[in-house]
Amino acid sequence: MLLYIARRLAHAIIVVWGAATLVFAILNLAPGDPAVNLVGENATEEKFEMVRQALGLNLPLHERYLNYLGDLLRGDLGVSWFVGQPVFDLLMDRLPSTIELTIVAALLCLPFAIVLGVVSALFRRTFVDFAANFVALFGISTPNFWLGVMLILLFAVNLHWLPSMGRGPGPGDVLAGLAAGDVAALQAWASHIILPAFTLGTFLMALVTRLTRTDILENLNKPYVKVARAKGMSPTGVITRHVLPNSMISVVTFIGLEVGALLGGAVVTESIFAWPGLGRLMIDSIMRRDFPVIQGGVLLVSFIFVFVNLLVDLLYLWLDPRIRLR
Amino acid sequence: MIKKILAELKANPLGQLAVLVIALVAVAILFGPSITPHDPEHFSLAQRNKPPAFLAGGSWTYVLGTDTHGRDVFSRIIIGARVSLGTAVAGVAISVLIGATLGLVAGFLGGLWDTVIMRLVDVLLSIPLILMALLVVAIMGPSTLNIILVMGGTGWIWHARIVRGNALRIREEQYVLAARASGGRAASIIWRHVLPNLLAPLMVTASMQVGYFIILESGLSFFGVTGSTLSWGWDIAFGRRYLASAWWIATFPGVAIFLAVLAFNLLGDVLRDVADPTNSAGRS
Amino acid sequence: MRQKLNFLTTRRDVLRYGAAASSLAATGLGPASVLAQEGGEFDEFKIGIWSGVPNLDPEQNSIRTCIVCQNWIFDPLLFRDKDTNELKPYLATEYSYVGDNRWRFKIHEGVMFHNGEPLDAAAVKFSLERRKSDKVGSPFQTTFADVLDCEIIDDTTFEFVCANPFPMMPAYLPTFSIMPPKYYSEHDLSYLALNPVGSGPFKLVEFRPDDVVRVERNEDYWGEKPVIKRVTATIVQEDATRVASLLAGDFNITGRPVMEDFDRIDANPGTRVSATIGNRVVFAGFNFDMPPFDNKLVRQAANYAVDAAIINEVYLRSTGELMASALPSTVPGYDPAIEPYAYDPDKAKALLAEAGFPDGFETTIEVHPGWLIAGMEVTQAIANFLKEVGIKVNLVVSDAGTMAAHINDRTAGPIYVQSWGGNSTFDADSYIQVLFDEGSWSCNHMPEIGALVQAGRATADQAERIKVYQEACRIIHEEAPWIFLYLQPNTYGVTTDTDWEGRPDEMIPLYYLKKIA
Repeated sequence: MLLYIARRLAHAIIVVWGAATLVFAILNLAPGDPAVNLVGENATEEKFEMVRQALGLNLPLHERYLNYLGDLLRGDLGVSWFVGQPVFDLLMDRLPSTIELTIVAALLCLPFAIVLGVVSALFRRTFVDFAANFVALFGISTPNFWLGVMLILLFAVNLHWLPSMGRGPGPGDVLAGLAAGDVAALQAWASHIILPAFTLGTFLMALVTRLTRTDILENLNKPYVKVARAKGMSPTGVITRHVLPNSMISVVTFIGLEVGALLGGAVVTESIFAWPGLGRLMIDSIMRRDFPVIQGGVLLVSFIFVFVNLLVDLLYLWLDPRIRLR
Repeated sequence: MIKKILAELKANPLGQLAVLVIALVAVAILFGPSITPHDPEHFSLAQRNKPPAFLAGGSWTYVLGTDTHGRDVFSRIIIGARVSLGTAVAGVAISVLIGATLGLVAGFLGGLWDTVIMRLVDVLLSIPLILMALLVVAIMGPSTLNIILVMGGTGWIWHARIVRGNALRIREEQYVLAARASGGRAASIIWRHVLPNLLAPLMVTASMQVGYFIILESGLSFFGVTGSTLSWGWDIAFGRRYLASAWWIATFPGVAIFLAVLAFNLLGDVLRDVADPTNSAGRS
Repeated sequence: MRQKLNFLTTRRDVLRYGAAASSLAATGLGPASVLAQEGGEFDEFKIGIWSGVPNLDPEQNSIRTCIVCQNWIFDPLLFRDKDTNELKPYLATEYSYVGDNRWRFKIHEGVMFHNGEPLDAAAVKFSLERRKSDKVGSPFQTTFADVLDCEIIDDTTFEFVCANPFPMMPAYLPTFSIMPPKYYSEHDLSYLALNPVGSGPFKLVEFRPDDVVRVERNEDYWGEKPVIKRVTATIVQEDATRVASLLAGDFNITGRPVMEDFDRIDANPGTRVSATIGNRVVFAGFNFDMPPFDNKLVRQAANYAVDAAIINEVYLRSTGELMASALPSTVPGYDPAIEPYAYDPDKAKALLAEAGFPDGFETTIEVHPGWLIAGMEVTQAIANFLKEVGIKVNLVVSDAGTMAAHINDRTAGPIYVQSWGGNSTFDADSYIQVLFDEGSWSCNHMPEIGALVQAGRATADQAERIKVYQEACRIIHEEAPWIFLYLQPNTYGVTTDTDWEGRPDEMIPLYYLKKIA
């Protein structure tokens, strides 16, 4: 067991190192001088040289790479070229709002997806099943940004029900408000997050609906289900009591693997809704060629992915003793 | 196989829809320029932002309305299929090629090969595709070629994992063992016994990946990173600024994307059901 | 041009009362305005910023949207008048060129920074030195290379000592922020990027880079007290969202609304459009290094082929102003005698034939749409006009980083669409020098212009400089390094209770803004 965890940790470190190296290579082997975005429009060659020197862009590639890895090992992600802040601080400043958005997106869409999945499994090959599949596929077949703008136009501009952009009070303020018996902060929080979370969650909803359906159908043929059915249990009873709990394990595993896609989806969603998260930070940094932030951001995203999946695996281990014994 | 697919389609209305949409898209791609009612790049400034025919002020001359240059939205959708589908299909082709090769290498050679390739898969899996694609295409310079390359360079992990898994299984099967024992060359074993078995699962993932890459291309367009301005993705991205004033400019290409991606996913479902009748999740 | 301005001022006429009130108040240290109370105060004023604000240290960035926000916190020596756009003393009370390459300034007495440090001649000297310091590495360092020193005469009097008459001196001062010496020498660059301290009408409350800037009224402001208590400026780069937010009532002012939404904004109760002619020239430059654009005939032909008037009318709703050469009409040195290239496709074809391209040729046009209003639309329109005379143009869309690198490496285009606002100096030098001199921010190095740039810098006599730049403009018109397009307007969506109009200098100063009851 301990050995297993140790091996998984080593594996995690290799993956994160690989991601760091990959992004370093992309940035540093690309054509174009990143200093051009920093020097001002009518800079002299001297000024260029000064900026390159300051950023260490004059060093040979292998030296830059070694410096970069050395800094990483010391936990130093560098300083943003444009914001002037340590990259670590910038990432930590933006991370909570992205986590908040992705979690709410998942929570908002999962119940819906699971119900839809169960219903379509129960009514396999009927109109209900096809309709559910159609609804589910809507989530992966619609460009998020189109959906986002349409939602803003409908709910903020036409109906005036929800704010058009931005983030409401943080979870801390919401809890403090609730503790004082005040729901205003909660309302403000919810009204800001609902549109971006829904927009972000549609694709996950689609995938989980389809996964749940497949998984339930697979389980329905298993012996334990047949036994339960033989004992006179209704199909719905079998599904909710026996099949669904089993299926949830694969749903959790699946969500672990989709964390990357959720974070990727956040890049688009955050831009549309002016949500101050990691995704927007990454876009701004890519467009400005802010190398330290891009490197740090990719590293963080990769780390989150690896970390979440490690957790999922450990959870699995804990839930399913058969694996533990193996 | 074809027979099986036809039988499956008969019982599956969504599958029929998929085939219909893909057939329409194929017609658009093959005969594009000769079937468009207008030149998709022709400006007619007097006809700017005309609504579609079914709205007040619209006309049957421009069935789906016109954009801000007075270009015919319907014609642009027909022609846009080439870039949107072409990019996605090319990306998928490269993905399958790389993925199948590396998957086979990992599955059959095993050992260090397997470890290195699978770690590479893990690394690419840990970076969101849209982020990776934006990074590479923006920094290397936006072009259709670069978009295809980044699709191929990252999308192969879908196929590599499936091929590897199948390869591991097939490697131990009787007929392969027999072929090896009788001194068959690895290449011919793979060609004769392994690839045919991989075809079906690869078609399933490839079909779904086409849909995924169409959406990816539109996502890149959203950030102004594109290789062509005559694609569905670009027309949505460009037209989104007019969603409040002329919603049809972005919405109809959006519908085109929706239908195409839907169709490729449904096609994937059909193929899976046909390919794997033992799978109880199937519709058979 | 007059006509255009009239068209744009019709809204101002409606708001004449408010405008008159604020122009009275804007004359500087007037008594705390009585008129202001009629409209009351804004407790919370919300602004939508159209592009990133990564940093609020005036010497760590040259980004326009940062400068807009910094202007709330810092005071400049000179500032532009909101009605006439003329340079007016702000922190300064008077200034003049005293000969011998020296500019003398006198500033207000008793001005304090937000942290209690006095704003005196020493603070100005410090601010200059900070701009020139290698350690800070300001993007304005090169611009101020010719300003050698600041000599303190007494607490409120000083002289800038320059390497030449440096006639552009006053023009650069509206974006030259005066900073408290002690504070800015005690803290490191990271800290200062986030925590600006100035002497301006507002103090920083919160700054989250590229997300939000919050400021509150400086209750001890030495000048006129603003009617706004708190300002929240949110960065919303998505055009569609920004307009939607204005319509939904989430902004009081938002920059660069989509032109197609102008009617909606005006029709929507509570919002209106404010547009004014600006300083940003929009052009399609030819890369001189790439044939056939080394050929003057081809460049002229392209100018005859493109109907800039139609582009302006259709995609900018006639809010732009056609250009005949490199200088906007708002900049001294502009020569009204030069006529824009007429739309004449036959002449264009003839010129192409003369240049050896009777059947046209194929080329590429490059654009980063975010750099100009309706960037995609305008670029596609240019391509379409060129196509009609036989020049087949492929359109390449670049992101900002790629485009900047291409211009810098002289690999842009060969036709590249760009905009340039002259750093809001309204001084011809910052157009002509930056865009055509050696080491320019363009692919159009013109040696014959280099000599004129030097001549324009050699004298502080405005009349003489104007002659020099008019000469340069004539050469540029004839040589046609660009397809001359138009001067871009500065456009805003504004709530109807806000008495504020867009300014030519792209700034959003709030100290004179009033509330309409």
